[in-house]
Amino acid sequence: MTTTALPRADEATPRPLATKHRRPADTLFHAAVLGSVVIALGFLAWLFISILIEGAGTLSTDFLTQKASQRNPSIAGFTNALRGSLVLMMITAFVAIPLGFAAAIYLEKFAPLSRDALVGVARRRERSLRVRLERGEISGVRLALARLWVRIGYGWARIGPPINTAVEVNISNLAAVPSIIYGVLGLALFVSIAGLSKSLLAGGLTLAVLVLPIIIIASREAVRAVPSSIEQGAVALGATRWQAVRKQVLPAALPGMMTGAILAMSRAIGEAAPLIVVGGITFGTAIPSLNPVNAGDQPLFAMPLQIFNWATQTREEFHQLAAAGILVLIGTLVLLNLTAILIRNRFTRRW
Amino acid sequence: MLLLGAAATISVFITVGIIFTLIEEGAGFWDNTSVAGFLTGTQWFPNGDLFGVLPLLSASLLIAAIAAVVAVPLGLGSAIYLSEYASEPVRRVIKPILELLAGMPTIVLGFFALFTLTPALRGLGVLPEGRIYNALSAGIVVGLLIVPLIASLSEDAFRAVPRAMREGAYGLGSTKRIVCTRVVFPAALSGVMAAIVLGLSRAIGETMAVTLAAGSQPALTGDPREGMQTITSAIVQISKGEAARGSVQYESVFAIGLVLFVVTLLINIGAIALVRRYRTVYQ
Amino acid sequence: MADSPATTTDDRLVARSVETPELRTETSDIAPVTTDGKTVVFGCEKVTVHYGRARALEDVSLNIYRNEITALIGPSGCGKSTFLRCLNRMNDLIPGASVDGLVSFHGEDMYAPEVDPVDARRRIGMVFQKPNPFPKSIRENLAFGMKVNGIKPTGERIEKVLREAVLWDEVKDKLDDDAFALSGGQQQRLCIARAIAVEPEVILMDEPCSALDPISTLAIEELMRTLRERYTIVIVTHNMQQAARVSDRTAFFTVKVSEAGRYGVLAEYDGTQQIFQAPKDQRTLDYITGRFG
Repeated sequence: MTTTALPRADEATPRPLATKHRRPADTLFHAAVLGSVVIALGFLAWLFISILIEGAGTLSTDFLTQKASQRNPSIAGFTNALRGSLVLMMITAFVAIPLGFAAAIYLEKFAPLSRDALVGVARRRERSLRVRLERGEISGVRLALARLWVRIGYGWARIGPPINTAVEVNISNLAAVPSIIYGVLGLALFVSIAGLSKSLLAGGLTLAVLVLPIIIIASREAVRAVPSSIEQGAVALGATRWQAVRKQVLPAALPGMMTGAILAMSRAIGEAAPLIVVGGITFGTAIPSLNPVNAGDQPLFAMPLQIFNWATQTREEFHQLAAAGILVLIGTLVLLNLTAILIRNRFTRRW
Repeated sequence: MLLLGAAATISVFITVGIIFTLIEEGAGFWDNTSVAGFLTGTQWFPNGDLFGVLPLLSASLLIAAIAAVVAVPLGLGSAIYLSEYASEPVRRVIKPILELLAGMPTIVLGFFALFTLTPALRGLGVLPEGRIYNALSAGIVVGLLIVPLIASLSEDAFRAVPRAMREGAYGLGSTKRIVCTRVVFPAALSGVMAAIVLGLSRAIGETMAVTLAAGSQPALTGDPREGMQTITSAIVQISKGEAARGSVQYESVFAIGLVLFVVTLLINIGAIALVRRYRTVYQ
Repeated sequence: MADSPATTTDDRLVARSVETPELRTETSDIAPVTTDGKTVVFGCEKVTVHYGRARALEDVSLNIYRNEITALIGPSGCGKSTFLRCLNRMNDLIPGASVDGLVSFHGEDMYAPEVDPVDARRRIGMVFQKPNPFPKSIRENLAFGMKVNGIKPTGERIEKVLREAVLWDEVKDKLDDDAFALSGGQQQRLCIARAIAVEPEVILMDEPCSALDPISTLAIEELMRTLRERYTIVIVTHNMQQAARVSDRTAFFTVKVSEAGRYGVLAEYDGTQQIFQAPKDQRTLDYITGRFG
């Protein structure tokens, strides 16, 4: 050992502790990171204020109840757009939420994760079949079916996990696909192939496809947040897996899942691009019926579409109408978000 | 349970559906336009049967690049501030506000760009007198749009760096800046990269803000002060005119949609791979 | 956080940038504080720590002497790690933590408003419970602290600290390998080498062996004995045999329950032999004979 080479660190009589001093690089760095937050929030504030100034004068109950108009800004209103968005949300929620929740529960609780576990299931099936064969309890068609069931078990153990991985990767990919691509899908699938015409129904279904991956991802988080001890406790009391999930896990996860679903809806309500691709820009003054059953032949009106329509007009008055429409849209969004936060704070418990 | 599984596999059908329709519905397009001509053509004029994707693609990439210039510093700065500097109460206030920005409908940002930001940039002399549509203000608002995305994903990556690693550095006499730049940032690098890449993919696919602010005049130029048309706004423009099924305009929507899908898909796959990598580092 | 302005008119020494450590030799000295012929490094009087409103530690008074190994032992929750973190102002980094009472370093109040905690941490090194090397090469792990403190990380210096930490022979051929590839015991010795590399006067060790196997533990204990000649060492351990084997002095902390909550107090502080053979405090006796709790 060559410890002699170093001086003893404490040989010298101790020096006093250094006083605080400016570290310009550190101060600058702190200012820079704080500054980026301030700039981002500053732009947000600027945006709000400018739209408020532009639109506040136009915002009135008349604005909310009058019909849309491309010609006369003084009598133009938002009622078609409001009704259209409401129907769109009903359709989207009705289709996407059940599907999203079901997919989330499946992926979190029943998806084929490990090959070993699945092989174990198949082995147990095989063993019980053998026992029943020896006892002579089974024959004929039922025997053939039971044998097939065993084979399916082994087959699933082989293909299940890779399929599961593919599904997972696929969902995270879908969530990042540009929304306009969903519009292109909706145009081809619902309008051209299914022949739904450029209606609220086609728009709502398109939005449902768009938010489905978002709902799946958010609800999976909620299901995952429920500790597995809850489920194990139920199973230990004699419940089946399915009962344990339905009676214990699902109620505990539901507030979180609803929060995710509402946030997904607030994404859908602001989407304009896919609707334009599906339905073009609707002119005319037909007021959409609020009954979603009739949505198949209702013109495709929606808040963001109406805003876009007005914003691309040349007359200044229409821009004020667009700004007022934006205020209504943002108000709706804030309402949806507050509901989501309320549900999250009121019902979600920490484990 | 089988029903649940069926719901999960719907997502696969969506992907298959997207790929199928993009190829199937656009199939007729390739009868008139060669793939090479499409990919190298420098003019996009659907009504004149000129289908060169380059001006659209370059506009999409230019606006995404401007967005990145805005969003990467702001997003990373915000992430560092939130994860390393902000006290818990401050964080609890700022995060929801940033999320509000993230949830802002893009048409709102487009309106802001067109009627507030562009006049302001004109007033500053950045844009020439009378210029309405330009890539710059479109890029800036798209950048603002992805700031929360980059900030939130990067913050997750910073927070995933174990506290022990920070303490080790502080114990050696590092200042907060050094801990941030030399310990936390390098350790979270792959997560940060994933955040940036996802932000880029979002910027390329962004539609309404770009349509409103950058206009609908295709132009193959690198000058951000010019108006230009991106892939997404070209799709909007054709759709607005309600092209009939079977027309070459209708089919061109699917052709450029396919380009957009492939570009964003490649980017997303890269990002997902990066995320998977950083998740496994500290297990 | 924003630094308060440097108090340049103070008759204390004006702060030097940490990037120029060679100035260190030119500083005027302060008189060492001595008791019974021994130099006092840390003097603690009535140190009380709160995390938010919860009290973690109350009224700890003790002196820590130069070139000794002082062990802090006691049951979990007794505040021994909290106390250790007071000695290099590591508690500053925990939001809501506050330290009352006096902690002096060579007779100077460490918590005086003008004292720079970053400089204090540089001079009072720390080794943590779990080995926490940076996800970089062995060489970069050592170079990091050196660069931060303005020491040039030459190959020669790196060899010296690795030899001092008795790690050189094991890693000399793989200095550019990832530090995570080392065994737990090697990683911990690398962390000790990393602490030594910035030339501290004191090394604080927070249960440095609790994540290690017995053989690595022995190696670290051996290392501590050689380091004692050059450094002052304070070690927190839950392992009483370890305290008895390596330390010169032992402070026994225990948990007190009162209306203010559960918090740690110092029960007894004395020479290690005294503590383990003839403790004066009943609580210490109960603990070391295994009758505690």
